[in-house]
Amino acid sequence: MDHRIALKQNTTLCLRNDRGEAIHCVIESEIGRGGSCIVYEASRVTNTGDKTLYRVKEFYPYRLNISRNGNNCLTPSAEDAEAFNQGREQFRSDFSRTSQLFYSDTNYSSMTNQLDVFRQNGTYYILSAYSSNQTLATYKPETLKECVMLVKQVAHVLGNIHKQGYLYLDTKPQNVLVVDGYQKQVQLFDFDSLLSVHELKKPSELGCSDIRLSYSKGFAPIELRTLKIKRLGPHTDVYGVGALLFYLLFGYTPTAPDCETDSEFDFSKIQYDFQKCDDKLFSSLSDFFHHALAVYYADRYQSMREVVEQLQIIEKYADLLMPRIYSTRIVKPKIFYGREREFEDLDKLLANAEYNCIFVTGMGGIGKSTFIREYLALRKGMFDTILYVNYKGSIEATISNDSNIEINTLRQDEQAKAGTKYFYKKLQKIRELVRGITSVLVIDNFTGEIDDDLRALLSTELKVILLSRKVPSYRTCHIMKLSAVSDKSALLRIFEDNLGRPIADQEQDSFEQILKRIGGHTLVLELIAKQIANSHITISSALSLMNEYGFSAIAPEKVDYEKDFELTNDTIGNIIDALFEASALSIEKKALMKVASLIGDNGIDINQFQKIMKLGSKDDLNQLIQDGWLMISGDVISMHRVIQEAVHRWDWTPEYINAAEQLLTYFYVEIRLESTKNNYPKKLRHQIMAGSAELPPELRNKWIFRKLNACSRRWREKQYDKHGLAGAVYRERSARIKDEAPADIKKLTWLLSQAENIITQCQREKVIYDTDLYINLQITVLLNMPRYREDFIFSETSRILAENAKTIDFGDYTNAKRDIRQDAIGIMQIYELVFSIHAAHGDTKAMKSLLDTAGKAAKYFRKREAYAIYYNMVSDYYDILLDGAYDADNPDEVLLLDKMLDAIEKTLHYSKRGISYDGNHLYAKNILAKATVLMRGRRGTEKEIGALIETAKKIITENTLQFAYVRLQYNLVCAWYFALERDDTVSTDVFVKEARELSDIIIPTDLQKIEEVITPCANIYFELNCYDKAMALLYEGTRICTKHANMDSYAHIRQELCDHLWEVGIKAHQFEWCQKTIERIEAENEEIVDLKNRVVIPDEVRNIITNR
Amino acid sequence: MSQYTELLNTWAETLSIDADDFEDKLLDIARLFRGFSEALTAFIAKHGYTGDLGNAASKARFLSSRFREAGIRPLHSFRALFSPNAEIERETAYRICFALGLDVVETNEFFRCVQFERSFDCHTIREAVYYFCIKNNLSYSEAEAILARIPVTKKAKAIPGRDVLYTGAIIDCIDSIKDSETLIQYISDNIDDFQYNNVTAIKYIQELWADISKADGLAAKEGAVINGTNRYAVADPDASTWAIFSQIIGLTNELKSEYSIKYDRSLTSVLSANKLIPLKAGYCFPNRQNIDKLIRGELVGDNEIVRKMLIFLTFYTYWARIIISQNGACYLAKPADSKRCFDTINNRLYYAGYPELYAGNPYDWLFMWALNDETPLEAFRYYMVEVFAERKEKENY
Repeated sequence: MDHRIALKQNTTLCLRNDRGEAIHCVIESEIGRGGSCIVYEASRVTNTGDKTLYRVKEFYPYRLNISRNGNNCLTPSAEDAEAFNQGREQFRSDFSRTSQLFYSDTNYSSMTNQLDVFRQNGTYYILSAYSSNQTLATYKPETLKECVMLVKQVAHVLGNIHKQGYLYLDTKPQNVLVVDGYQKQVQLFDFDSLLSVHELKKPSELGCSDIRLSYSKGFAPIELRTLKIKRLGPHTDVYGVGALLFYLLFGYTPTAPDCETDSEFDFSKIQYDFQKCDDKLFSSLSDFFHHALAVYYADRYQSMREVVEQLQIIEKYADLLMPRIYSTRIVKPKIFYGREREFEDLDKLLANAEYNCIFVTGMGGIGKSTFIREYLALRKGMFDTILYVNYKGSIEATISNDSNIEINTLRQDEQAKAGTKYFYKKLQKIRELVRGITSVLVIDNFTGEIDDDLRALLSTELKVILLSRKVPSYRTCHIMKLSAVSDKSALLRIFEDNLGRPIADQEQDSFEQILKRIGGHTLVLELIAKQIANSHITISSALSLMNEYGFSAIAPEKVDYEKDFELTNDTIGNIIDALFEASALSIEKKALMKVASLIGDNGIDINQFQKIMKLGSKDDLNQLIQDGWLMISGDVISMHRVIQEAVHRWDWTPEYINAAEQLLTYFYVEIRLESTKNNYPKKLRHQIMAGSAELPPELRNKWIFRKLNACSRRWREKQYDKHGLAGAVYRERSARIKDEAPADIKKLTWLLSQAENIITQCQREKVIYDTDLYINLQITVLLNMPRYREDFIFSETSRILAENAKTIDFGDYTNAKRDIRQDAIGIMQIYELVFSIHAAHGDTKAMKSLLDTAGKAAKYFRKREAYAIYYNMVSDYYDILLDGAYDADNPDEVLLLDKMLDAIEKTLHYSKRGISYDGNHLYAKNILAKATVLMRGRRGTEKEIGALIETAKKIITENTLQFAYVRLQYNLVCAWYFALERDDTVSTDVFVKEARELSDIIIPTDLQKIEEVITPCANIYFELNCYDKAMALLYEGTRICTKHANMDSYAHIRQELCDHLWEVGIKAHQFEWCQKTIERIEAENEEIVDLKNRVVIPDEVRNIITNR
Repeated sequence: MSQYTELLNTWAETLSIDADDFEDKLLDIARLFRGFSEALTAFIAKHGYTGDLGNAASKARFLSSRFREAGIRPLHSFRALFSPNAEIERETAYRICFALGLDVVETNEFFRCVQFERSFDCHTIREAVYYFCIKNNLSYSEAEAILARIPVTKKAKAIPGRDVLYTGAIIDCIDSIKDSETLIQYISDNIDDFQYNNVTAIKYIQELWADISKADGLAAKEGAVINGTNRYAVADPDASTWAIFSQIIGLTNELKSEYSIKYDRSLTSVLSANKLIPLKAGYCFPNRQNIDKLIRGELVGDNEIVRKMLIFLTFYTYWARIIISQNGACYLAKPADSKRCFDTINNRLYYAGYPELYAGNPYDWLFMWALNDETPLEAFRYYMVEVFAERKEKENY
């Protein structure tokens, strides 16, 4: 306990120095106690009679047993006498040391002025000049800046003390006097703790008992607290300065975690208003504390110079009057994964001095804002100032808005009405403030143009990042296109975080399909995950619902959605509507968008689209591309699936329907023209040519002919219009009637591919789906689709038949989309197409089932052409059952052959009177089929067969054009005829050659070419015993198949070709050749992924070939 | 620094896990650690005892006379203090300190080097009074007189949910009190705040554990880094305390499962009677159960549990952070890293009111030794693996 007795008030002290000089003063009051002394305020009367004040410090250590007698003399107990005497001498020498310090450097203003040391009352007294009685323990600085300024002064004084070779070691608020004045000043007092650095450097082992150490808890670093003498140094005082500032700011001394390397300081708890301080205040304060309070001494500032420098910086940041731009507080996105590569790209762009304007573009919801926020949050240390604003309709409005960009010395509402525009004034200030520092300005949702205001903004040293869906045309800026997050694992984590749970292994596939369906669109992925969570459905059921109705209609429950820092709760559909709000688009552009949404993912050539939509220029399309509504890659424009979904949600207006019909009509007309071009009836073509023939020059200018011509044109146009879709086809056919080139297979393939996408997209557009136009297009596409597209053919067939089967079976029209009698031929052809696929697979059961249905349909339609097609299918059916056994040698085969011939006869019967090209072609085809059967079944005479071929030839010559398909059949039948009936290799060769040349022009797929030409020709040569030619053809077939090695449809035919090949090879004793072929096939097999598609080489064949 | 401490410090600095006879040396070192009686002998030798250090009777007489001079009730047997495996209560320790006339610094030293415990726990009334008395040069009987005037309170089982008073604040108050009446008044006025203790230490432990165990916390991240070496299990986001704890001590998956099944995830059986873990080190060794209690804010009773846990978690946190930031399990520590870690642990201990690391304390020695390795966390884990191996060997034997 402190038993010390202080001098009483009004006690007179007669202080004498060693030379006998004396000063008389009177004790006014005790003002403080330390471990070794008591401090008083004392007064003295001057010669002028004025009262002057002093500080008097009495050596009176607390720890020692000392008594004060009635004369105020201090007497230590016997056991403490030595310690007292030593302490007293130390006290005296401390005075000398302090005096030296006072007069060195500039310390006189920051240390108390000790006047002299006197001996009195058995102890020593130090007389000092009067000074403030306020210390940092009692005085609360008014501002944060003042705190820093005062602590900086303390650091400066300590720096001076260090220069004189001492450590102070006892920095604490109680030891820092605050002196009033124009500016507050500090004075250190109590130098009892001073430690000479010289003493520390003594080589001897120092112990704490050898050196007098004093410190104050809370302000002493660990080396001082644990008395690690050797570790003491200027950095020990650095800790004290750090702790002092910490104490002034937070109101308490630092604790252990505050001294650790990764410590984070909660500056929101400081006792001063920091809102208007510089953005960098806290980072610089953190930096300061990390280097001042570090637990490990070597991590601290090693000199007070460093401390003062950092405090000067902090002081500047804490100055409220210094003009500054306030950075925007960037809120780090809660969920963010991936985009590391984009971060690096942006790093490079920002580092490039050539660009100060970067456009970050990308479709809505792809995550531009989130990306930038994450980037800025991660890289905030790179920038001195970060500004993030929303575009306010113009650059002037955006910059002038003080809540967007705040400069502490400028306010728009305080500006004079007249004079320079506020925008320019502010811009000038921004220019000054960002000069020489790294600053970034992000303008989100930028929809403006590059104008003078933006150029003026770019003339500052700001790095400007504009977030926009639009792609700019400004050349001196750089564009960074932000597409979907590419890292699948990042997308998975985004999905899981929004779903609120990890997804199971069995859900992975559904997740990936969802991802694919939305093109990796971040926002939609987030919304779908939330929808699944909110609607309590499984991921797979969400996928099914998505596939059926689109992702915006998975479920009716609302989901949370944050946009521009605002949280809303709405359905996905409404969110998407808001995200892709399109009221600013003109009706024409919206119509184009609606049409483009039907194109599908693969997009369409922009020139082609312009042509289809009959656009005068591409301006509208270019604008849509620039605004981010459409994407362009090369010349192909397309629409992101998410935008497709948004556009799908727009109601159909008459304008949109017209535009969509224009698209569908184009494809219908073009496919019809191209697919029927080769087989178009010759006579009809001649009629059209005659109708549009030009008059001779001498008659052309006669008024009567001109008038007739004009009338005729008008009449024709009227007719075209009257007949709707058929008229449109007719109009185009007439326009191109002089074109004698064969159908363009490439073009047809392209048309079918585009149309297939359109059909799929239209399936959920009821307004379009229910139109005749759609059904016509659907049937046309289906009938012309190459057979290897079995998946499409089967799915579309099921769709069409499902909607019409009831009608066909029961004559019930209630559910039919329209009177399907008008589609009789189309539907029968669909049956025929599917039938042919089953036939190719040898699936006789399916063929039979389909025949039954087709039979019912034909009866229902009651049309000759329908029956003709039906019986044609029947004949094909028996042909398959017969499996080439035309020379029937058992009753079953004979029966099949009879039935086949009967079916051919019926086909001939129903197709004879047909006037359409289909009828004539079918008729000719069946005559040729009959001839083939008679020929190969040895049932007819050569004359009879020759007559049939002749009849067919006549029909073909009269009714078909040079590239008609039936001509190919004719050539093949003739080849058969010369092979089987005449044994005439030369003539056979001629027809085979004809057939092959024609097939190269008119047959669209390799599969058909093999099935319909190569294999039959090989068979013909086999019958002629021309094994080499047969083998060459079969080998050619296998080579063609190799190009399609991994397609299921080619696997079957490849196996057949190989089987035939080896059969012929063995027959021709070409064993070595066969062996080589086997080796090649085996090597090719290795490349085929699906094992079932590999060619099986029968052991029997292998044995025969190997043994020979 | 005494020769004893110096020797152990030297071992801590020089023993390498790569040494051929590492395991044997470990056993030698484990035998080096002195118990209470030896430590007490060394201590009294520095505080006035000049007789034969090996003579228990002489030492007992010395202490007895000091007790008598200080007017302190004598112990039941002073000789028993110098018998092997002797242990004393904290109260007895304070009586010895009063008897030897120690000041605050010396009392701290006594507790650190002899008792291997924290000194003044000023959150308990008795020790707050002792602190006041020793600081102010008051005798033991004066302390008893003060205590007699203060109501007796029961210790709480958990830290109260209201605002708590940190021990540091109590010490600050006691430091400013100049007389015993004020002290009595202060304690009586704040009696509720003397029902719990270790607030700072438990706060630190809770914060450290939160950083370690959260979903993307240190254990998960460090687990991911070290998993690259296929040695330890990665801490999954919902990892149990046991999973994380076993990762920290370096239990391989195999051992983790084995000990989970055999010993219900308790280390007691592994550490007890283990030649590599001297008694004082194994006592209150961090375990899963105590982590769970401390993170629930339960007062575990024994201060040593808290101190050892604090060292354990501070050590792990420090190195895990480095491993994560360097993304390398085999980061070679620089000397400054280890010194910084040492100071970090000591600083935490200081603020929590516990004595700094002391090489003479076998538990502390383990960490000081690990800190001198190039890969401290790995060294610590290696040591623990040796401890498990020793136990297994014993079982097989």
